[in-house]
Amino acid sequence: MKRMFGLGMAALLVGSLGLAQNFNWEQARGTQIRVLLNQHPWTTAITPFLPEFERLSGVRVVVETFPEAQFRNKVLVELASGTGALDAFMLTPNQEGNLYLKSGWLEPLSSYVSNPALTAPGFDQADFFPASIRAASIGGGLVGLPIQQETTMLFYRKDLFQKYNIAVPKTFAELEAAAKALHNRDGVAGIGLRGRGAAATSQLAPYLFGHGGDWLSPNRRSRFFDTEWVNALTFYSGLLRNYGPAGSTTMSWPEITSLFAQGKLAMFTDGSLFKSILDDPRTSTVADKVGYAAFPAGPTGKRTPVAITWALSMSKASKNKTATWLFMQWATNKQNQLRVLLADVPASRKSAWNSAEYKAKDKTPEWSAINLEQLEYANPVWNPPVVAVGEVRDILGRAIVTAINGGNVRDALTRAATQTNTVLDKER
Amino acid sequence: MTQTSPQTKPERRSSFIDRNLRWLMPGPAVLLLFVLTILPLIFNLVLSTQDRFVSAAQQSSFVGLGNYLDILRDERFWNSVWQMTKFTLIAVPAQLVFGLLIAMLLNRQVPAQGPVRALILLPMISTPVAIALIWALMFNPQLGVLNYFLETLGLGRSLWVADERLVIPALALVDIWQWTPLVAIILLAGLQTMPEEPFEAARIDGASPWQLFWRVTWPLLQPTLFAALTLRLIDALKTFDIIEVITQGGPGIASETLNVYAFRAGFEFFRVGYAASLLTMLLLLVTAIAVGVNLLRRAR
Amino acid sequence: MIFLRTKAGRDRLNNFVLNTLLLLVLVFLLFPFVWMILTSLRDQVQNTSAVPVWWFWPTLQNYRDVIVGNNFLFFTYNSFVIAAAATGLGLLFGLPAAYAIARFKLRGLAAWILVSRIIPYITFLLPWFLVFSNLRLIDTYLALIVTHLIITLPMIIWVMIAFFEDIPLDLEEAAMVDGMTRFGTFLRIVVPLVMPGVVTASILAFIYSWNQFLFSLILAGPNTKTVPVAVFNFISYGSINFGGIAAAAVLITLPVVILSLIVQRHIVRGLTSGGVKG
Repeated sequence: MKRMFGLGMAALLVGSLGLAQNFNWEQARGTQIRVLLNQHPWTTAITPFLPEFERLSGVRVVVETFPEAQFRNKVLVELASGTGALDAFMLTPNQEGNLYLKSGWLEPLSSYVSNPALTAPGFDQADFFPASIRAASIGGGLVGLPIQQETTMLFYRKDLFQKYNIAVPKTFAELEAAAKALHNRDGVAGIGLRGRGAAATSQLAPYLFGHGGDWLSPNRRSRFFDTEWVNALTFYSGLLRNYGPAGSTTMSWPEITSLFAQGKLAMFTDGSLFKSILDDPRTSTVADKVGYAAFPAGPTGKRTPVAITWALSMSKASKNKTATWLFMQWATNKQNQLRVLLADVPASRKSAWNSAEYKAKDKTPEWSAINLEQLEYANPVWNPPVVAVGEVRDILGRAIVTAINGGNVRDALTRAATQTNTVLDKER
Repeated sequence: MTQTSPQTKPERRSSFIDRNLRWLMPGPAVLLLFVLTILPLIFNLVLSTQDRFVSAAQQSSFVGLGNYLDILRDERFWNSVWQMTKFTLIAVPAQLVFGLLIAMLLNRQVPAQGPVRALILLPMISTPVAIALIWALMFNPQLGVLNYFLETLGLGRSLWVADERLVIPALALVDIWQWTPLVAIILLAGLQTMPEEPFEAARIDGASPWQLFWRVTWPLLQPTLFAALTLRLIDALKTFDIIEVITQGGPGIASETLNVYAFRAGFEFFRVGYAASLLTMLLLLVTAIAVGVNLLRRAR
Repeated sequence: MIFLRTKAGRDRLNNFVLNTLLLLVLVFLLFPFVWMILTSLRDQVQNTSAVPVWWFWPTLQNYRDVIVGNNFLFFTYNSFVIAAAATGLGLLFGLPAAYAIARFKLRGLAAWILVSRIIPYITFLLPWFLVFSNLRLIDTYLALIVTHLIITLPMIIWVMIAFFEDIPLDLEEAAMVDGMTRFGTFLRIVVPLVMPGVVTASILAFIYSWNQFLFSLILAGPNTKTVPVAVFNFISYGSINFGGIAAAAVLITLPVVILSLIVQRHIVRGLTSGGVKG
């Protein structure tokens, strides 16, 4: 059985057939590793295949999953305890990466990748999107293996756009016009965007870049009082205040995707991952009416989606590093990246998207094409690049809520800038 | 008091036990509670004098009372104290008023007395996470059943917990729903243990039911009312589960009470020292209020 | 309206009005439970329709998803073990303590035990976590049982003080004249007499241990996860699953409701004794 599987694996790893059989998958046989995962479609997609890895390697994998907020807390608390009870975990490098790396909690992975005794020949790091590898590399070294690579895109209701003869927005101005035209028509709100404080930061980011703004100045001061920021937040909060659903300041992605799935939103922009919720008739009443479009261009004239990467990382305190690494490379190998892509998780390996199997089974080629195209230019810095990212997200989140509620945008941002600079002072 | 004879050995041993029962019996429980509560509390106090991040990414340093000085200048702290106060000031008086009314409704011959009293207890014994989730579904501005009721009654839709001004009253409503039954049964017990004589005397004087209430019931009920008030004040100030599940302190920080802020600071911003100071402030406030209510009760 | 002229008639009307008020109170208190059950029996489309669907063909799919898809029985078992053990240990330590407080009038000690109620639970979490991690006790029943004692122990002591105070001193003195030691009297005479109190205190302690969320969130793991945390996990990625959340909520609440209904009379007594005498 094991042998047969080994052969099957090898056959998949094109071009390295002979070598694959020589790689010792069983070098950590008999160990057990503990893995913390976010309740994410990737987790759902990979879980059924875990026994395959356990048979291949003889390593037992104990998985715990939590909803995102609890998940992030749990990982932090475990790492901070320094006990080494945790071996691997999911990480958004752009969120906690700086903090974890500076705290000495992340195992650098580059030496593992380059060690043929530890890494199977077919691993092929070059197969990952450069954006994914860039996102997962902090401080010059690889700290995670990318498992998911999404970009911000526009989701819209094809039927409504057709019915009211509206073109798919290509610019922010067209986006606002479409939201205005469709607002309160057929029981929908014009546009949905995240408005729940800190959670909105990552989705404000592409609008910020579209207005030509950025997070920090070269001397690491907050740039929140720049005109670009004021324009971006005025635009973002104006869309929500004028054409958004009631109560948008409590909405993050679950609320927005729910509303869209129930046919109460004309469009929204958010991570491409959410397609899987919207085109599934069991969870969506508009499954056959979802349109996908590239993130529109801002006043700068450029399209500025952000690229959000989830990775699998190893705890520096882990006591089973070999077993953990075997698990990580298996979980992100070509076959498994294809499997998760077939479950609608935007994979981070080019080979998965380019495979004949995916192309044959792809129900939404336009979604795939947009994702791939956007990855060429998407900005991976979707969070303020600071160590205390949670706190700065929260500071900014309060400015976002104030703006949506009609407060003075410039004042709110100036206050946020001052508070952020206080946080940054401590990081010097 | 103990009459043990000095002849037999086992009895002498038990007389030692008996003489020291006053310490031996509560000893293990006290020791356990000390280890479980007072030691962490001391640890927490130590943390509160440090500018300590959960990790080594930022340096830890001793700052003395520095965190506390920062707190006094932290507008978010003052906001959280204000939200906590608002929440408590809405929830607790309403619980006392409705609790008293329900207690009086129950303090008669009631059909199906047993089942009625059992059903009334349900909100306070149900798992807070579960009921908070259900209320969150009911509050949903687009799909919640509460807005359906409002519309049916001809009132407009409400944003409920999505509205900055309504979020604290809405959360207080959940707290009122959950804890009024406790106040009601405490007051009911108070009503049922009242002596009969003052009522007889007042009736003979020809007092109306209204006068009877204000002249006899109300003064006699004072100790019980204060007990219920103290209990509810302490818990309302510390409310965590329902706020964390329903709003996580939002929109913005419009429903962020001190307890929720401290949780954020500690487990989301990882500023352990600062969170410890916030928790100390919360503890001081709760203690001060509990002591204050008790002083008020003695003054009466 | 002839009956209004007689006293009996007025009483009957009064009673009718008061009973109606009581009914309204019950409707308000019970509606969320009714809604929870209805929601748990509807599918997602019915649950998200603009006008609430009151009449529908119930589905058990939500329950099936929760129980089968989420290993709910295992989490229930965890919750049960932890709450039962914390209650048992709470009785072991709490009964003697409550007796001593009642008999020796240890007012200061009683007040001090109440203090543990005042401290926000979050205060304990980080110290506990650090200690339990270093002892390798995260994700063990032991860590959860010990921490849940902080709920059960004060509750048992507090409820039992009132029950012990009700036992007449003469009874104990009589037993001691007969040659029993004081501790023997406590074990053989007093404890059996306060059995209703013990049952009440145990059930209350059990319920509040069962309901506890925060401790398990931080200290439990895959082997010890309790139901409240498991329900939170059920808020899955994707749309808000109304039916699933409601089904999970019904399942957690059910044991607690059944327990409290069985002993409802005692529960009222237990909850009030602490409050009234405090």
